Amino acid sequence: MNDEENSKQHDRDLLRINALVDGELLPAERAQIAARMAADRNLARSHATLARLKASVMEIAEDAPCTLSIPKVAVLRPRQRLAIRLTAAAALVLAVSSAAWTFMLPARQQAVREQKEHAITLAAFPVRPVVPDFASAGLILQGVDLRRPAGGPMLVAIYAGPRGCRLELRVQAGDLAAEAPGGSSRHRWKAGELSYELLAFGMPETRFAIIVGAAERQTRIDMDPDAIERQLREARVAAPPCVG
Amino acid sequence: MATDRHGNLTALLPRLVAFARTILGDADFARDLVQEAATRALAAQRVPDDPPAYRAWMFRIVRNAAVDELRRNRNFVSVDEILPDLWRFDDACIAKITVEQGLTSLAPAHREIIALIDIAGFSYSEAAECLDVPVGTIMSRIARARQLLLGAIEASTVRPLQSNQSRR
Repeated sequence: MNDEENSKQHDRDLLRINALVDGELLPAERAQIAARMAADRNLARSHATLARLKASVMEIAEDAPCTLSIPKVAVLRPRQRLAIRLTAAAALVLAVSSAAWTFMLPARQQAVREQKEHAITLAAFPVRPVVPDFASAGLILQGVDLRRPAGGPMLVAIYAGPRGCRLELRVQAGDLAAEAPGGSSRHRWKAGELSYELLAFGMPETRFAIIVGAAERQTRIDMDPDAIERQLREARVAAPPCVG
Repeated sequence: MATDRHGNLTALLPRLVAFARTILGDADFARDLVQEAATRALAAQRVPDDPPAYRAWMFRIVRNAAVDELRRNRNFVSVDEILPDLWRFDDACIAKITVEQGLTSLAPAHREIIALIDIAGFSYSEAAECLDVPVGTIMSRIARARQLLLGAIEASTVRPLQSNQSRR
C-alpha cells in the first residue's frame, strides 16, 4: 500500500471507529472493524480514545444543573390567560391600595383621604381598562400602577421580556395627557371611552408594530383570542431581540 | 390535553440546557434560550405525539434558536485547528473539565454536531434530517469534530486532577 492508499484507509477507519462508538454500524461492519482492531493496536487505541471522549461529553449533559421551570401559564388558552392577567392586575391594584391604607399612612385622616382618592381613581374610568396579555410574545406583566397626572387618573402597566425588552402601557379616560418621557417607540389609540398609549424601550420597530396590533385588538370588545395569539407569536419569532 | 402532550418536557430540560450550552458556550444564555423554547413549544398548536418525535422536535426548536443566536452574535474567534494522531493521544487528558474547555474553542459547526450526537443523543439519520444533509456528511463531520476536540484538549493547558483519574 502506498502513502495515498494508507491515508485513505486511515480516513475510512476513522469514520468507522466513530460510527462504532456511536452504535451506528451494522453487525457485519462491526465484525469487520473488530477484526481490524484485533490486528492493529493503533486502531484499538483510537477506539478507546474516542469512546472515552464520547463518555466525557455525555457526562456534561448528565451533570448539567437545571433550575428551569415549565411556564404553566403557556399551556392555557389565550382567553384563560387574559382572564388570569386581568385578575392578577386587579388583585395587585387592591393590594397596593390596602397596603397604602394600612401601613404607609401615619394619620387616620390621611388614610381615609387616600382611600377616597383610590376609589375616585378607579371609579373615574367610565369602563374597565384592559391590561393586554403579551405572554406569547415573551413579555410578562411586571406590575400595574395607578397615577394621578394632570389630565385625570391613569393606569400604567409595565411588561418585561427576558432579553431587556420593556413595554409601558398607559390608559386614561378621554384623551391622554402629555406624552410620557422616554421610550424608543410609542403608539396611541382609542378604544371606546378610553385612550391607550404603548411605549417600547429598546424594541425593534417591526416587533413593536406587531405587538401594537395585538394590543389594539385586545382592547376591543370583539377580539379574537386565537388571532391575537398568532399575532403575538409572530412578533416573538419574526424580529431580532431587544437591544434596550 | 396540552399538558399531557408535553409530559416528557421536564425530563428533557437538563439535556436541552446542556445541548444549548454546548452550542452557545454560555450557560446562562443557554438556560434563557431553553426557557423561551419551552414556552414556545407549550404554546404550539401542533405537537408530535410519540416520545422520540417529541424529543427530536424539542431539540430542533432549541437548535434553531441557538443557531439564530449565533448568527446574530458573530463573536466567535477561530483558533488554529489541530488534528492530533489518535493512537498517540494521552487518554488521561480526557475528562469532563478538559472536554468542556476544549468545546469552547471549537467552531460552532463542530460544537453543534457533537452536541447533536453526544448530548442530544441523535442517531446519524436523525442528525442528518435535522441539519438537512446526507448521513455520510454527518459521519465525516462528527469524526472531524471529535478529532478537533481532541486537538483542542491536547493544546490546552488545563489538565484533570490525578485524583479524578484514579476514580475512573
